[in-house]
Amino acid sequence: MSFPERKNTVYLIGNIAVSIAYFMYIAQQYMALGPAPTNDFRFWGSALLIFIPVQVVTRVIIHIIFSIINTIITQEEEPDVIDEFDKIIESKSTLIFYHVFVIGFFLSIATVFLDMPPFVMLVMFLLTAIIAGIVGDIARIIFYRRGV
Amino acid sequence: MSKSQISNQIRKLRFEHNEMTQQELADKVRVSRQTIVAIEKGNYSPSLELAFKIAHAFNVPLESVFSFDSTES
Repeated sequence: MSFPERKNTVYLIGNIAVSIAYFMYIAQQYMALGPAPTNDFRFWGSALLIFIPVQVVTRVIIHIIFSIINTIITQEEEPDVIDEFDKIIESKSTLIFYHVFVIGFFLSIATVFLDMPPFVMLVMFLLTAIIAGIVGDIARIIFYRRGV
Repeated sequence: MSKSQISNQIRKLRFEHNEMTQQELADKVRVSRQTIVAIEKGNYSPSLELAFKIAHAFNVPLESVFSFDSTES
């Protein structure tokens, strides 16, 4: 397994683990609000907003830990070259991320149209962000492995 | 992902150039080793600029490194 494949696999595992942990934490917090909370929007709005810095900080921490462990195990330094191959993979995986995100966004809006409670739409927003991130990471690994 | 119609002789040229490693070639053309691996395997068709750089690194014309198979289209 090459360096970018290893790095993106670690990112993917970290992303899944943090997303599941965060989602479970949020679900617990939501249940603690009681059976019919009145401030649904405020709660899920803050959950979505907090999720972004959580993802960023997690990625930075995972990157640092991965770099240290990878250097110790493989004695191989992180390549400092970002070339056209990396850029095209980044571009294609970001495009896939956006596609998944847009589909999830419209599905979330559709729940309002179907008279579902706002809670469902906001949960779907959060899930969309999580799933799109995971799909983007998987796409990146596949592109590095099979080419573009 | 289907294989590219562009084939290359990089493996052979590296061997003929004092068994140049993928890393050495990557350093010469300023890309990562992973990119050279992908090109060599036919998993990635490089830009024209990179293709010329690779040919230049081996001191051969572009068509000695890359060839296009038009029968597959």
